[in-house]
Amino acid sequence: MASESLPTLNNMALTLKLKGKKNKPKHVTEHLIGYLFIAPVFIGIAFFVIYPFFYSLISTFRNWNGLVPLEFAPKVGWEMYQRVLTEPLFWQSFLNTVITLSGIPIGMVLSMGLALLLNRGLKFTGTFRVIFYIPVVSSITAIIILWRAMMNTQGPINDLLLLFHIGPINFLGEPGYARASLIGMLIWKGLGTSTLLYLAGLQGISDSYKEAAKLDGANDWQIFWRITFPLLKPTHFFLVVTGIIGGMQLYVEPELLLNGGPARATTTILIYLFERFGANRISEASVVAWVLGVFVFIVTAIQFYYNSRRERA
Amino acid sequence: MKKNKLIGLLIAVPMLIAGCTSQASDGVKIFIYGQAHERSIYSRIIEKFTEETGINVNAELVNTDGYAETLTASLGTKNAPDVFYSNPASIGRYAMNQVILDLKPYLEAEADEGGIDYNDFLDGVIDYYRYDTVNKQRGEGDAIWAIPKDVSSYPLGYNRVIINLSVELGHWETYTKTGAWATREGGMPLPWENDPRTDKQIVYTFEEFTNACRATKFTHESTEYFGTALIDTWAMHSWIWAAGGNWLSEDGQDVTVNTPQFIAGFTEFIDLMDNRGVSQTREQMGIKPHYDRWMEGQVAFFNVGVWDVAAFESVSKDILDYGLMPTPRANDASPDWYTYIGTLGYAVSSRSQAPSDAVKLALYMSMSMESYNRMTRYQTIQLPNNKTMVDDYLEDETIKPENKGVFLDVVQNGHGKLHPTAMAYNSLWYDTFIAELSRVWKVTDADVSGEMTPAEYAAYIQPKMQQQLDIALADEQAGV
Repeated sequence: MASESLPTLNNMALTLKLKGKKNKPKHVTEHLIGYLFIAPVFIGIAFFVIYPFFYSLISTFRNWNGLVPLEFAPKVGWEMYQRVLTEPLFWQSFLNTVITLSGIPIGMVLSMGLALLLNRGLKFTGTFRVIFYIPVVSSITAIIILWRAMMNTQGPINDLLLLFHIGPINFLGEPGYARASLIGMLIWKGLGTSTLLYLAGLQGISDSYKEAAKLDGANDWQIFWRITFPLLKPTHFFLVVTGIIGGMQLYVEPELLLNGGPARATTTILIYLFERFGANRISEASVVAWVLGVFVFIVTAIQFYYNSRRERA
Repeated sequence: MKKNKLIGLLIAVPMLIAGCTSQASDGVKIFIYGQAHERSIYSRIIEKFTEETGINVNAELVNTDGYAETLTASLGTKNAPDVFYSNPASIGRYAMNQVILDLKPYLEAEADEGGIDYNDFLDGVIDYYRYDTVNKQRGEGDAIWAIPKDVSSYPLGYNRVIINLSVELGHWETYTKTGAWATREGGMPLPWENDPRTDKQIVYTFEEFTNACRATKFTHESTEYFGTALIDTWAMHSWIWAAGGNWLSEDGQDVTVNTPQFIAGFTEFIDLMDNRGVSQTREQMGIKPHYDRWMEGQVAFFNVGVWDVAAFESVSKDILDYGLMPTPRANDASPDWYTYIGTLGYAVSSRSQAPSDAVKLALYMSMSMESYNRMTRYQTIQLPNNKTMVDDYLEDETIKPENKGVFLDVVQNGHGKLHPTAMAYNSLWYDTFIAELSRVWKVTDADVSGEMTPAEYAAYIQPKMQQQLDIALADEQAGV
């Protein structure tokens, strides 16, 4: 009864169409209504994405400190790019960030292995899925506290190593170990999501392929390597692309766990950016953001190119 | 009807967006940060201010997270708060970019009208907030760009419980009956005793302080006590300055961390922390931070900031019976001791529509009897800013610790220096030193030494610091 008396979006559009029919062509009115519906999102993108995008680009060619409007900041050409790109710390931060990306293939291998196990229909599969996903939904602060305690010189990891007469190792105090600890934590934290994605991918592969291969005499390894692995390509691709984009924007974990140290070993490109921001060197921070954005764009474009080429082949 | 609804929608969207950014412009807006108990104190002082003056205050009291970013984002806009925190490190940038007001005319007007007189600030502290925008000189010029919210000092503290135990066990005499004290019964004077040569509280030399730490590093009834456990980034300045070192040259153009004096002080400090077996090690620190050990009565000597007093007073005297003492001097030939002065100020936005009221509020928050009572007398989170209240502060036995005059010695009697971050246009040059400091540390107990000696580190880091300082100087000259 209520639904009959209230105007629905459809009959609102219909009424408008009928009214508009007298003066305007039908498609114009339809387009207008469509634009009205997308207007809030479009306005949002224009204000919060497109405008800041060009604003930050312009700021890279001025020496802007954020304290005065951008138009009052002196024009300096490419000087801010020169400042950033000639600073060793920028490249060190860039390298540190790229090093942390080494966790992507390790995480993919581990999560694929877990997904294969979960896909075998073993008991308690549901419970394990929940367990693997807990780190994803846990508070990052809680995770950091946990990992700091775990990696302490007298923490459980060192206790375990001592059983094999190794250590104690100061995981958070020595640059090499600190990097490894950070990567380990990132892998652990991301494992749940990538395992679920692989599991979804595995469940989307029809059993008929495997059965046909078995009839042809293929063993389990050949089935995995020749059928399962290639058919998971969309998942591999998705994880690599999102992993690189997320990895290049790494900030919270190294900042909270290690404060970018020791000896700058975990200072990522975003930590470097925020340090410039904190010192009111906003133009330099913008340059870093643009270099980072262009790098991610190029890497992603290359991946898309090779992926589409393989698909065509 | 439906057409009207559509038109209404089109009007409503911009209004909604505009509504998100509008704000009330009634009274004075203050934007400051603090811990929960501090924010509660600020609220009460602000309430009292409104009660006494009739000026409405829109107080935005936040915690420290994101304060600087929020402030930076608002300073260049119409939404800038009237009153906000600034410190000597940022005064130059703010002044050069005209985002803050020169407060001097307003301060003089307030004094002339019989209000709070800014001349009653502790001697010299106003100079921390002077900056000559023409000659680009800190501490110079006529303009006053902010007034101190607080001026705090960071001398050493001792735990009487551990030292008395050391005396009782004979450790004190064993380790300190040497040098000038070789013939003195009981060894070196205790940190709360006077030096018989000067009849003033003793100021240990580097060597004597090491001996005092050795005497208080022992295990008794299965509790391990540490001579000291200092936080490098805050404490090392005392050793560097006492040895005659400095971070920058007199003219502020050169980073001087590679001078022999700086290296001497820096080396002495790192040796004390890592190589003499008197401090909690870095490995032990990973298990329990220095501060926690001190609070549990396991560290004999530790820095005490004014802001720490309330927390330290909450611990039983059987565990932490603390008092204040000077930081060490280098030797008998270099008698001066120094520690750093921390200060935060109230600045007023150049966009303020009510600058006189804003200055009134800043003065009230800083120098009024109400602020003294709430921030110093009832609960000590800062020293009195108003010199007319100093005598009351020193004589009031309810204000702890007993020898609190050491705090004022730092601020008023030449034993304090501004933190290095206040010495240049921005602090990235100094942050560069701190960021890689762990290269000189023994990160595990098994390490024979750090990756670099202090001298090697100084040589390695100086060019990197100089590069950042040069950028800061260039920006300062350009007025950016």
